[in-house]
Order: sequence, then structure tokens, then C-alpha cells
Amino acid sequence: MPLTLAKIEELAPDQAALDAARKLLRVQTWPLLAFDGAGFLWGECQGSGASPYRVVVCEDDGGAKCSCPSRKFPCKHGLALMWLRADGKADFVNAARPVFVEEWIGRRRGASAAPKEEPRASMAAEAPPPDPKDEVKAEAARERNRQAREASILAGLDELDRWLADRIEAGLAAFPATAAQKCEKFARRLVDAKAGGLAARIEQFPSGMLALPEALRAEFALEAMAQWRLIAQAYRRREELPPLLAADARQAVGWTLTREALLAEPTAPRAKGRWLVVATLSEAQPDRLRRLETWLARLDEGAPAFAVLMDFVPLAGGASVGFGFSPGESFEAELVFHPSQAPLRAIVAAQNGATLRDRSAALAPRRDLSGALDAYDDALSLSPWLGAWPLATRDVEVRGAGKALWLCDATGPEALPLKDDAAAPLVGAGTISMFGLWDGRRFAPAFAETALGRWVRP
Amino acid sequence: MTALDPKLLEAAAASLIAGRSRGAPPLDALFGAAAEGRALDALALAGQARRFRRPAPPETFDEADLVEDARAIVSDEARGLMLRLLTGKGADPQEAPARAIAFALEAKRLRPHPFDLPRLEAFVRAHAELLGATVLAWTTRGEEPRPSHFEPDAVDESNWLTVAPFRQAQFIARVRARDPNLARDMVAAAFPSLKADARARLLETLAAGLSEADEPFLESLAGDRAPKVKELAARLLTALPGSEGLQKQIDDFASRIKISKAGIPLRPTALELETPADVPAHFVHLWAAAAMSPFPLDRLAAHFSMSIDEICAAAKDDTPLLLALAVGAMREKRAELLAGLIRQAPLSWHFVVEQAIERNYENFSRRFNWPFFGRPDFLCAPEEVEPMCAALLQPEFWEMAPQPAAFRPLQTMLCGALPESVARKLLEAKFWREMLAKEEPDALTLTALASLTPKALRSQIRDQFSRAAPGYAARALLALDCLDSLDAP
Repeated sequence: MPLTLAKIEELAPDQAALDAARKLLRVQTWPLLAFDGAGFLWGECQGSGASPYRVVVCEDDGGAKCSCPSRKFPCKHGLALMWLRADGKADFVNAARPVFVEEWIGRRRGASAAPKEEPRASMAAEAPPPDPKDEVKAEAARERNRQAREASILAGLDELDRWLADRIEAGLAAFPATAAQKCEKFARRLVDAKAGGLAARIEQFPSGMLALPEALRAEFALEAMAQWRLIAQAYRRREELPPLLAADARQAVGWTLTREALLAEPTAPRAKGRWLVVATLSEAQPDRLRRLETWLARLDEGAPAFAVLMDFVPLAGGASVGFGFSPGESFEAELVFHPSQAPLRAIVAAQNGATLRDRSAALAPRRDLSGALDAYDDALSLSPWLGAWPLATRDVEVRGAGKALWLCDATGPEALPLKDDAAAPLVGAGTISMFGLWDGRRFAPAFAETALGRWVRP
Repeated sequence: MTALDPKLLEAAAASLIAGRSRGAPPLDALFGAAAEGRALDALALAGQARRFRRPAPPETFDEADLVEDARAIVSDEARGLMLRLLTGKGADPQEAPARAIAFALEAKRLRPHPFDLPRLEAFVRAHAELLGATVLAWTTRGEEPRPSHFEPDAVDESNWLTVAPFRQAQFIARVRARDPNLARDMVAAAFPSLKADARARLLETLAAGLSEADEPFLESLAGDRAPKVKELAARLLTALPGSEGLQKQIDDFASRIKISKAGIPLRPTALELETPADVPAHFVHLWAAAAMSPFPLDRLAAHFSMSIDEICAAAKDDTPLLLALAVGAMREKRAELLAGLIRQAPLSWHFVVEQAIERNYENFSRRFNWPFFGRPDFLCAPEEVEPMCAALLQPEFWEMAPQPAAFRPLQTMLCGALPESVARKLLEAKFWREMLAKEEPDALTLTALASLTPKALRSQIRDQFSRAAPGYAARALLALDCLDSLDAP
């Protein structure tokens, strides 16, 4: 996709980065400007140091890499290189990719990543063949580790049962007052037991609970503990469960799949189609990582209808780390979903063609609010420890009731309380189509098509 | 199935929340014979069952207040540019580009896109009165003062002092319209027991239907302990012809002016203002301008039996007096007189505009939303703008560039861009050429002047920026792009 100034603006982490990039638009600052004709640009930007910074940019998805120490992403050098290209005033020479570009492409994930087979083949030609004995030993070590972790997790789940029984004995009404300390302490024990997924749920529970009015906290604790108990039980009985539900339980406890393993997983659902980016969310996690979620809605018929791409970056990078996509963009891609009864988390296996910002790619939900809630109930039945679930619904209105806002079915009785007042500008906007996340209690609106145009959560 | 009986699950949930000491969960009913030790399963079932419940909607929803707004929404292009210019780190809603955008929206009868209002919150709050009914409704949402439960529903003479100050003012305004003297007497009787803000609010209501009968009351306020009440009373007094209070203020001010005489016969040659001893040196200019603000220049000249031109000529060596006279000339829109005074202190033009326009504007716009109440008389009429601007801005005498903040009161006076002839003079001035030639020009000054440049000269200033050090004019160019997009048909 040709880079445009509008796209560069979206990619920029802030206005300061754009202003700084503008100062680098002098061609004299760039001893090298080149492209390969396959969507990659690179250049060398003379900074204040002796050696220039090396910058690479992927034109298709706006990905960038620079050797400067900036924690902004993309940095001013990356933005300036894109800008020079978009302006068309600087001459880029057509050249073969240098090593630093090849290395970066080799490390990339996603649509523009280099095919993995080629480097492997060339390395295989040079590297000595692996010793079969070493491979057997390594496999045995992996198996021992896996078994040790399984045993450790099961012991941790037994501890969870005892901990829950203690909470029940005392009554859940008393739990919210001491939840922060108790959950933090017990989550550490589950981390030691190598059940990181479950530990994260328990650690994040107090912040979710404290966001609710006091009267609802005990009830919230009951629902959360029910999910923890269900996860523990499902994990113990995973051999008896359907494979996809067992996979859900494994993921909930903390087993992860690498990208390569997921791509090779035969039970992982695949979906080829056109996807509309409907939300980008960033959340700081207790493990000092920032979770970047890109929510997608499928524009053509087919299932799954929604997907979420998740990336994790260090919190130390600041909030300025950019998303690869922004709401309103659409692209054709094949997604591979993590195996699940209710598939949602996915990766882009292959993107076909460019990412477009085209107003004709509009959210057009097929369900009304009641139908969307029925779909949520179905998903909850299939995957009982489901978290926030995407709802896309047509014919709804945002209305106020006192200080709270509600998403109301324009014709039916259903209504969902909104999480905050971000959708206040939609009050009085008439009947709209809306996408958002429903956690069973509150709806977080993210994207809407209205008569006044498209609304995106700020 | 018995295990999923909703009533049983509810009972289990209630028991789990209360604690087992206050009632065990109905395990037998839920699990039958295999109930022993299944409290955790009861927890899972009861908790999970609740997750399928749907929220009960409120009994009634608020009626959406549909605001009638004849203004058109800005174009998509302008939307994007406005968001870039007016949001993000360092975007100040009071800086020159933001004000220029607000005035341009008012002039073009445009309004921001309603979906952008949360992101433009600081901007729309600062300039709500210029941005249309929708924006006004947005900025005042949920803020309307509601009567307390203890306040009476109907306000009358017997209970008006027990209600909130805004309702007191509403009531007095109604009485004033019906019986001006009664309203004044009620306010006068209540004054000693009221706080300064409430006193000022009530005094404002007396501006309607002002007559000579109000003079004794207004004069009595010369000694009010709140400066804003005192100032407001003095302003109302000036609106009364032949007010004795006003004459007293002129006499007081004139008594502080020392006159030196020379020549045959003796003629006044120099005026020197003696400020009170308790006015700090750096406040002398402000004090002089404030002290002279209530009365017209001609009344002062008459006091000395001189013409106003003679007064101005004699004050040339006393800067505070000179500037106070310039503020008076600005207020009375006497361009020729102003030009002569400004020539004595060319870089003090911003002080003059600030005292004559900006202070009034800030008070006025907060209280009255002037686009809806008509143009206030302290602003220049359209035909006065060009001569007044030319009198104020004399860049040929500037030895250095003005501070960027100096343009702010000017922008208020203009309610938009500079007249073309004045802008052309600025863009060709020496200070501007030197600024653009600098290795590190002041970006704020570039942005301020770009925001004031009229449409016809935007291509010229863009051309000048293209020769300036790159980067420093980035925000100025963004402001120009944004203003152009608002001017586009």
C-alpha cells in the first residue's frame, strides 16, 4: 500500500514525533535512501553521532525499525523516512536489501514476514546435521519439564480449591474488603505453581471489582470465583472433555502456543475473509507488559465473525507504542484462531493485499441487540470462563438515565448499561449500529456507524 | 432438572455470599445423594448461572434534549486538521491558532463534529460561546445548577434571598423589568448580607433600566470592599449622564496630575502623573489605566481647559499617563489620536488592547455569550477595525519582535484575521524578515502571526515559511491548513 500522509499521521505516536520528523525531511540528512520494489524502504539518517541511524520501513503495514535509542514507535526517523517516500520529492534508489534489512524482515511476524523456510534451508546446507542422540535427549528433557509443570499446576489447583473453600466458609460478602491483599498473595502462589493464566485472572480481579459499586462487589466475587473453580475442574478433567474445551482450559490455566505451533496446529480454526478494524485497546498488565488488542469484525459472511489480535510490549516502552492498524481500516487476510470452543484470539497468517481505509467497508451487523445477547449466551455456554465478548448490533440507540448511559434496542426491550460516558456524543444521534465489548455487566462501546458518520471511541 | 432450578441457585448464591455460618448452601437439593463436600461445585453453578442474567433496564430514560443548531458541521478534512491542531500535548485552547479557529467557525457559521467534542473538550470549553448551540449544550451538560431540595419552588419578595444566587439574579431581573426602583431597593437592602460574587451578580442585573434614580446607590458602592463590585458600580455610573460620582473620580484623577507651564504667556507643557505611594512600580501602568477607565478623554481635557491633542502632547514624557490616554483613545475608537500616542511607545500596543478590550471581553463573554446578545460596544465595529489596527500596529517603529502572547488581545479585538493592509505591512516589516532569517526562529510567534493572516495573504506567508528553518513553522503551517480548510466552500 502506498504510504500517505494521513497514514503516517495515524502511525505517529504523538504530534511531537511528527514535528521532530518534519525536521528530518532535508535530503542532505539522508546519505542513503533505497527501496526494493517489494514494499520495503530503508535509509541511513545522519544524527548527532558518528554513525548514521539505520531505518527500515514496510510500506504495506507501516512497520518500522530504527537503530536509534528512542522509545517512541515509530521513531522520528521512521516517520521521516515514510514521509519522504509519501512526499515523492526525494529519490529512492532501487537496490538489493542490505543485511540489516534482511535481518529485520527475518525477525518480523505477520503478513510481511520473510518466509521461514528459505533461511532454514540455507542454514541447513551450512550447519552440521543434528545428532539423533541429542535430539532424543532434548525431547526427553522437554517431556520431563512438561510433566513437572503439569504436576505443579495440579498441586496449585488443589491449593486453589482450599483457598476458595476458605472464602466460602467466611462468606463472600466479607471478601471484597481484603481482596486486594489476598488475591495478590495467592496469585503469587499460582505463579510459583506455573499456572500463570489463572494467576493473572486472580491478580486482576480486585481492580475489576473496585470499579463496581460496593453493592455489586460480593456478587462479582461469586461470579469470578465460579469461573476459577470451573477452570480448575475443567483442567483436571481435560482428558474427558471435547478437545477444543480442553484447549480452552489449558489456555486459561496458562499454557501458551507459539506462533509457529499455532500455525502448525491442525485443530486451530482458520478464516479467510475481509476484516474491519473496529477497536484498538491498550491495557497495562500487572506483569509489566502492555497488552495491545486489535479487534476485528468480519465484513463478509462466515464464522468466526470477530477476532482479536494480541500483542504484548514492555510497559517501559510507554503508552506511545503504536498499533499496526487503526479503527476504520480493512484488509483481506487469513486468520488462524487459537483452538477454542468460542474462537476469538487469532493471528494473521497471511494478509492478501493492502490495508485500506475505505468508507464503503462499514460495520453492518446482522443481529439486533437481543440477537447479539443470544450469541453471547451461546458463546458463554461453550466457553464458560469467557471474558469480554464482542457484540455488534444494529438498530440501537444510546440513551441517558440519570448519570448513566445505556445502549437500548430501538424497537425491543433490551438495554445494556454502558461502561463509561465515552459514547455521550451518541445520545440523540438516532438509530445506529454499534460494536463494543460486553463483559456480562457493562458494555464498552468502541465503534459505531451513524447518520452523522463513523464514531470511534476516543 | 432439579440441579438447575433457578430458585435453588439463587438460594445457593445467597448462602455463599452470606457465609456458611449464616446458612449452608442447599447442597442436597442441588446434588441429591452425592451432595457431600460439593460446596465448590455449588459455587461454580450459582456463580455461572448469574452470568446469564441480563441487566434490568431503568424504569425511565431521560428525554434527549434535541438542540436546534443551524450551523453546518465542518468538513472531514477540517475535522482531521482541527484534531491535530487542537489536541495533544502542548495544545493550549487560548493560543492564537485555537482562537483563530474559533473565530473562523463563528464567522463561517460552522461547528465542530459532535463526535469530536470529547477530544476537543478544552477547546470547546474555552470558546463555547463562538461555536454554536450544540457545543454550548455540550459544555453545560449536567452543570445546570439545580435548586436544592430545601429551596422554594416559587420565588417571591418574601423568600428570594433563600434561593441560589443565580435564581436570585433571575428574580431581580424580572422585578427590574417590572419596577426598576423596587428592584434596586431590594438589592440595596440585601447587599450588606451578601458575598462579593452574589453582590456582583445582582449589580449586573441593574444594568437594565438604569436611571438617575440609581445614582445614589451606585455612588455608595465606591467604598465596597470587593474590587469587582466597585469596578462594576463605577462602570454603571459612567453610563449615567451628569453623574456627580463620575465628576468626583475625574477630579481625583486630575488632582494627581502635576502640570509644568512655560512660555509667554505660560502654557502647560508637561503633565506628570503622581501615583499613590502604595502602588508598586510595576503596577503603575495598570493603576493609571484603571483609574482613567470610567471617564471619557474629553471630560479630562475639559478639566484642564485644554484640547485632548494638547493633553496628549504634554504627556509624552510620562509613560503611564501616555498609556492610560492610549487606552482611553482605544476605548473611544479615536484612531488618529491613538496612532500619535502609540508612536511614542510603539511596542506597548498590546498593553493598550489588553486593557481596553481583553479584560472586558473576558468578563463579558463569560457572562453573556455575546454572539447571542449582540456585539458588545467595547469591540470595534467592522468599519473601525482597519484604522484602529493601523494605529496600533506600527511595525516600522518596532526594534524587536513582539512577544507571541502580545497578539492574543489583538486577536480578541479583531475577532478574526488582520485587515489585509495591516497584515501586508507586518509581513514586509524588518522584524519579520529578521525573524524568518534566524537559524532558530520563535515558533510561537510564527504560529501567532500565521493565525492572524487573512486568507488573501496565506500563500505569501506560506512562501515565506518555506524559506525558514524547517520544523519551526510546522505548527504555523498546520494552522494555515486548518484555516484554509474552514474557508473552503
